[in-house]
Amino acid sequence: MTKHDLPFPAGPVFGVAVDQGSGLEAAIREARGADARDDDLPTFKRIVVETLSPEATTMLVDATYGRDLLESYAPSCTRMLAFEADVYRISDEDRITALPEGLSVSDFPDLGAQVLKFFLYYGPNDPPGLNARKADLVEDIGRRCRASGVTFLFEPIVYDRALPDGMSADFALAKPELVRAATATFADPKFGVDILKVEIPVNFDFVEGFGTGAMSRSEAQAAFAAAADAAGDIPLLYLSAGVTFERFRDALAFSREAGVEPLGFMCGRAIWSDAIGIYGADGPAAMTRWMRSTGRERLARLKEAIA
Amino acid sequence: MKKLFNSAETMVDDMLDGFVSAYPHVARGQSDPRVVLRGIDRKDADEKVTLLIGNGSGHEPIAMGFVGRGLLDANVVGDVFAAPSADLILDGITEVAGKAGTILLISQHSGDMINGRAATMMARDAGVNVLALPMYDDISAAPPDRKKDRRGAPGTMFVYKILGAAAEEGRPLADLFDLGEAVRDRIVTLAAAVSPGISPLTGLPMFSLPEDEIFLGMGVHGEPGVGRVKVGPVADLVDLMVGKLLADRPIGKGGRACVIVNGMGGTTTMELLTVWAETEKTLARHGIRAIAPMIGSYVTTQEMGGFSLSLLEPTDDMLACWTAPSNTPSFPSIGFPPVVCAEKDMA
Repeated sequence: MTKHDLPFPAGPVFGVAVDQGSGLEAAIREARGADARDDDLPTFKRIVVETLSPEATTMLVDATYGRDLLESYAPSCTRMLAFEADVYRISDEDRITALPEGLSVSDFPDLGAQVLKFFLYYGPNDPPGLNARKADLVEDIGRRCRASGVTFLFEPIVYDRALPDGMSADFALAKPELVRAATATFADPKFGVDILKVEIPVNFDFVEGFGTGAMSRSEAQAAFAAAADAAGDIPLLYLSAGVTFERFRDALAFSREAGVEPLGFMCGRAIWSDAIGIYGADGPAAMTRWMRSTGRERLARLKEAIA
Repeated sequence: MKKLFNSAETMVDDMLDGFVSAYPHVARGQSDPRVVLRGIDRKDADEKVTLLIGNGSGHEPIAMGFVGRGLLDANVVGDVFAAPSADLILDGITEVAGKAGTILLISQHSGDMINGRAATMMARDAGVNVLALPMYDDISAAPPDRKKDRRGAPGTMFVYKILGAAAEEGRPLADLFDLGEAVRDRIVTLAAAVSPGISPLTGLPMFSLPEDEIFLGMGVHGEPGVGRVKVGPVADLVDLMVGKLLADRPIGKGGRACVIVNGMGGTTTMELLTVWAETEKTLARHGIRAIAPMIGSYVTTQEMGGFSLSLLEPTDDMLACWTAPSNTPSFPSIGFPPVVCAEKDMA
């Protein structure tokens, strides 16, 4: 599948993700306090979908709530559904994503979902046997996507067992190579990946001009370029991975300075995390108003950053 | 929605604690507490082919309730509505494997297939003689010329039971695998959903359905089906469903069909027996004798309302295995002894 065959309108992809599960539910419950209701999480997601899908190229929802939410998308917005189970024991030592039991790849077309998203923790320095199993899993899903005519978006989230603190300077210095290696691995055509959703390869808390300066701007630019080159012909979407809106906007702009031409971005919390407090304090109507103004404005500013 | 659990994090293990302490038929595995093994009636795995299946929890009594003599040797229990991991399935295979070989039954959904095949490959790499048998029977998921794309539905219980009885007799692995495929290829299932189940994880309905509509073909989690029909007399609904099942896999006049009427969790015995009565009458109008019914809520999705109807046109051997005695926590006695069947067939 070439860039032109992807089920998106022409031009960059401006994606919004709202596929978070139990973690988001807990945050909303805490924000709501005594007013918490069982349906707060789906209500929150529905507001995000209804307010942003007219402006977004695509939106990502989860398998648990997403089937109903897909019907609320604006017609212009490509439907993307996560192929992951909503479980409380998210990962064991091997960090292999739990698969849904009642959702098959072949169900996606009937559900109206054009794109399947699958995420997997991947440690390029993990034992080869474990990584071979993860590779088999991704390849199997890719094969099923091709058989069902579903676009396969794969999201490797990198880690290194030797550097367990993902916020440390040591991990920040190792991250560019981890992202590059993971990108290079899954860009292999055998996996059938149509789009790679990848992390920003540097942690700007450690980049000169943004944070401590442990990494120079030129090193950071080189890291962006190397990680993007590793994708070959596979289009890249950058994910916000929980950073603040301002930091993600700066990172997207920085990628352009580095000469990278991503397909676009997938952004979740950076756009709507502040809406949790609004929803908690003032309820759904107030959140809807906030999303229509600030939420849409944030999406527009991210579009500008990558233009 | 109020649910009687301690917490989402512990609900599966709390349930398993109750299950293994309530029934002597079952015990927890040594390798992982999510593996349920026979507690009594174990046979030498060098002499008897072992059978197991993995599934997400939330659908009880299947499949842990079918562990015991004449049925399964193990069940691997995943998280709620999540396919058990390949590692967990591998633990289950390893627990029951012996020289006679093992069959891993897989109800066909992508996650179960992916993890089941991975576990099978790892086990074979470790020298275990294990075969994976995908099971699929839901006619709403794909047309007859793409049977292999169908998903597993409650009709797969025919495979469990018939293979379980045949394995108990000591039949060899290859014969059992062939029998399993033959049974699978004779099963058709169609479901009618009336109301959604409430997810124990979220406390919310798993899909929405108008009050006056029934969804035909919907999978147990709300997977897409064939369409909606208006609520009316159950006789009309059964007539429609039997017609679709027979159109998919015809049974000739004078033929016979074993029947499963499976409740989805929120449908009463009163209703299920009514469905059975209408099924028997409808099949009779087609010149087909409905025999050896299994009626009850065995493959459930919490309090989901509705039922599925499964037909199997059995060979004599399949019928004998289907009606053979078993001893498990949940599999019922099937009320059609083989000897009676043979006599009726000769009549």
